[in-house]
Amino acid sequence: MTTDNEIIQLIKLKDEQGLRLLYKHYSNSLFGISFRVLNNEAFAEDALQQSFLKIWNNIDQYDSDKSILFTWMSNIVRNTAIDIKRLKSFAKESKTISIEPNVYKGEAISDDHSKIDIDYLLSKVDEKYSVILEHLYLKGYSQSELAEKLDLPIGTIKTRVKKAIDLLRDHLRGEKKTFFGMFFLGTFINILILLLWI
Amino acid sequence: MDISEIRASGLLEQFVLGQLSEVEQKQVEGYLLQYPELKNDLFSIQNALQKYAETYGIQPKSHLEDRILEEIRSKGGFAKNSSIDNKKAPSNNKNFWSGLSVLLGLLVIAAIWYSYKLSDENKDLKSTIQETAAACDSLDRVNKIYIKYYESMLSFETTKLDFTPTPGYPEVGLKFYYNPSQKENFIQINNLPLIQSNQAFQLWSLKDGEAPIPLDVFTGEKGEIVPVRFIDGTKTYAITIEKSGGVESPTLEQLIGTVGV
Repeated sequence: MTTDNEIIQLIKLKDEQGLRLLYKHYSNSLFGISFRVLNNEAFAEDALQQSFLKIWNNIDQYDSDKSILFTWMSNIVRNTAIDIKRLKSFAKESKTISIEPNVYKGEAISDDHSKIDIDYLLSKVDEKYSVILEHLYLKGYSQSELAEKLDLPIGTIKTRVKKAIDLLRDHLRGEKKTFFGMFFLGTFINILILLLWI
Repeated sequence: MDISEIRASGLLEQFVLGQLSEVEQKQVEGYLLQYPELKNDLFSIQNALQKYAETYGIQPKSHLEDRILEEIRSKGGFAKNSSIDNKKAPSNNKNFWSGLSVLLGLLVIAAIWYSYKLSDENKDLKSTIQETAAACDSLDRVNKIYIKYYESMLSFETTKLDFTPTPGYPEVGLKFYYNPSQKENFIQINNLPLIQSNQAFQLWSLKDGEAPIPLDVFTGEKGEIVPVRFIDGTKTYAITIEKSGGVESPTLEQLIGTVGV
């Protein structure tokens, strides 16, 4: 499995393979953000293209001590998409797409056991939290913009942000516990079978 | 704030979401230096949000990857010795191997063709050998016959006689080998008059008081030896020119020669 470090090293060496791996592993997640900010496929593609170029050119600015690679990249994509959204040409040419984009569970560089099942996640995260996350994280709203949109105090937005992320983290921890539990149980059974066989 | 208050404040979450002012960001960075263990929280939040983004990912259209790669390529962004290039080097290797395999393929085809051709030639040679062997057999048989003829002709019991040409055919030159003990006769052709294509020479046996007995019909060239029938009691053998296939009664006007035995 390719790691973020390998991809980063390849990109730093300006190796085309690095960009291909980056695209393979992260294009779906990043395009999801770009599309939700712009709600227009063509502009979202432009935003993703510009973002990949920025990632490619500025990889040396990425500090693995401060964030994981995806966070750094998602900020670039979100900000690029927001910049495009602010352009007059966007306001003039963009058309609202009413069709809900297909939700895609993309391949990511992560442990498979921690992949979130969307239905489970939606059932776990109350809508009032998921709306907050969607707007702040995926659609690029600021907290004040969202407070105005939802007609809620900014403090409530902040509280709900934390709550939503806590729920996600709890869910992931649960998945990990289940995984490790199953792993150790499996190992124990294997050892038992081995001992009985001997 | 102590570490638990920081965790409870939601500052880390907002820090990750980029919702903090510059002052607040500096503040959080200070906390991270002060409490290194907060980095685990920070990365945990980031991982959770990455999973969230993956869950809501959208697959872009397939052309986008090529567009991005092309843009970077057009700006000279890729290193010449990138692993893709290295893969292209294998690709060159691939081309090399492809070329080699094509070459080998052609060689195999050429070998098969050459082998097929050799096989054909072999068949031709075999056929020629068989034909030659058959010809040799035939010649051998002919030789044996001629040897037998010569043995008979050279036998002490054989008398070598000359045909006497008739006045109309002075060019006739024929030797007659007469062997009464073996009851064998041979004619050796030295020269014969020209005849038409529908004509041949016919030998006759002449006995006293009897009608001429028709014998062998032949044509031949100089040097040829023609075995002819032996008839007991024959006084003279005569040759006439007759139609091909021979006749029952000789055409005396076309009598070319005689030999008495």
